Amino acid sequence: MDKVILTLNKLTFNYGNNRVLNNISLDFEKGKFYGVLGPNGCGKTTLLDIIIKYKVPVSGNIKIKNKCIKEYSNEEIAKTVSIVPQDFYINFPFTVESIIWMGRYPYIPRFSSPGEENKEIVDRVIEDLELCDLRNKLITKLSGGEKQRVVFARAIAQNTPILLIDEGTSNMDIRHSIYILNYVKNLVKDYGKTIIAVFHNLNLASLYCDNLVFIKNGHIIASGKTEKVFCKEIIEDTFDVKCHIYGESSTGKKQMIWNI
Amino acid sequence: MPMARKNRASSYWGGPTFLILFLVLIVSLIISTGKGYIKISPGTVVDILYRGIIGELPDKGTNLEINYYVIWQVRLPRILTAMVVGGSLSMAGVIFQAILVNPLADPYTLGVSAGAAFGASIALLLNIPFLGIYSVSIFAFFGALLTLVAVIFLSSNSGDISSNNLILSGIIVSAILAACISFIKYIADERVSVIIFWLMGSFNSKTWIEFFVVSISTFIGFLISFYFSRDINLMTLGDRSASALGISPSRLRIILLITASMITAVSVSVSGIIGFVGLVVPHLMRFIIGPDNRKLLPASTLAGAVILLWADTITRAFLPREIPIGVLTALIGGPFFCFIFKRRKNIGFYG
Repeated sequence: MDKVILTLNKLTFNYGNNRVLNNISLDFEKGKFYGVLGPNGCGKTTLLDIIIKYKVPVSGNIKIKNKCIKEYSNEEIAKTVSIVPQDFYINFPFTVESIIWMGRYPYIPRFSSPGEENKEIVDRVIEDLELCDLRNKLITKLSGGEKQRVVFARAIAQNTPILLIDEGTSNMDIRHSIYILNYVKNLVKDYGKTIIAVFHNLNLASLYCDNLVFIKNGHIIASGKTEKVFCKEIIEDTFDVKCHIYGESSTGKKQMIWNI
Repeated sequence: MPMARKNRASSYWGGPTFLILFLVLIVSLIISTGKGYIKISPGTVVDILYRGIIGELPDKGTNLEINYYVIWQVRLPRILTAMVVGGSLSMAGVIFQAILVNPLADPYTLGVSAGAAFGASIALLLNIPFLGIYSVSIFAFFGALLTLVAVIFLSSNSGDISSNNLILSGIIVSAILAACISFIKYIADERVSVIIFWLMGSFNSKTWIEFFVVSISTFIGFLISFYFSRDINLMTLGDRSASALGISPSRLRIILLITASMITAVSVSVSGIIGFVGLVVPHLMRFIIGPDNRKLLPASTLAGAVILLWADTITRAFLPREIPIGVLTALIGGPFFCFIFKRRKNIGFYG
């Protein structure tokens, strides 16, 4: 079982009296791209919050690399898990470059200079994500999609084995969405990173994910290989909307349309 | 973009800003010390400051002796107190804006000033004698402290403290306290003028003791907040991302909230309510050196010291009649802030 990098064991979480996650157990393997799908308020974001130790579950536990998350210090978590949050609003006029530098903070001791290695990583991320033109711009002057690309780059600069993406391409145009998803897909292939991404666009999820997890009302409806679980019954059951699955595209991936 | 900001993390100590600010502060201190009813030339001021530091008293009966006492016993305590209060209010402004993730926050947003004002009003109303001349300051301090406790209690929600909850709680508590202060003024009869005067702020007849008290609180506050200055940067990304970058947003918010409120409380209890410094100076410095709190904190502290020193010097030495410093800072800071606020879109500040 060396391939398992992250284990969720009987997680339960409440907001007040409202149960958001109910007895969730899941294993995530190293070097795979996972998609998490489900309707609004089903507990997707809360699940990610628990993995980054931002929220503490009522019961159940999480293991990363066979070590309980409670035993991780904040710094260790920061070097293990990064997140592209849903909300990318930034209130202060930092430059794009300095936002991306924040992804390197966990690796640089307080009050010391960053060193060549970190500079190279930041430069490479800026180049790889086509942010050179925006590098010295103020984040507050960018459009929504541009801000989201910067926030995405910040998470990638953190260079952690596990990357969580919460609707991370929601404001990007299709070219940038695909560009950035291809990029992280390559991180999975080439560097064995594990990605857990919340999607609202089911077709993108089908194109990129190795495995899918369907969540509804805090329960797991289905989870497994994309080609198996991306089917009419499961999608209709999760979202309560009729749909139609069609063709295998040239990549061999299934796509869907809503049938309203 | 109005000015190219080189925010390379590698050069965060770089730039001549700090040196310039520090020199401006020293020069301002010397010039300001010479101004007033008795004019003293900058050369003499330096001489007298030097003599004071090495402990060499001037000869008795000379002009120099008079100037010596004017400077060391009247002007310096006042000027230095104004400097330190200006620095601490600006520093507190930076911290509040960062932890509330709101560039419009200031040291008074959470009602610390209203609490201090309430405490001071009670002391002035009852004319409490047993604590001597410091009774007003002490009451103001505890008023601010109790307000902070109330605001934290109101806003905490199962261990989490969100910035929105804090701002709302601050507004609620301030509104209640404002009503209480109005009531105290109403029943105060002839003492109402004393209360109103105190609330408008003044550095008149400040002593060395008050200077030392503010200095200690400002120094400790600066050490704590500067230690966390890099973590404060992460708060701007939102609690979720900050959390994944290795900090505990709620814990950090509480630590800094208490730190900033304490230094504000001490400042207000010494000098009354001096508005706009804590709001405008952080904005001004963000223009000049960018929003990185590792630079912004020390720069705002220095700039706040310079600005309040000059505001106090204007009212003390240049105006025909001394006007309350709180009124002066609002009269200068208010329109300036309107200008920044109106132009914020063009310069890329605040969305």
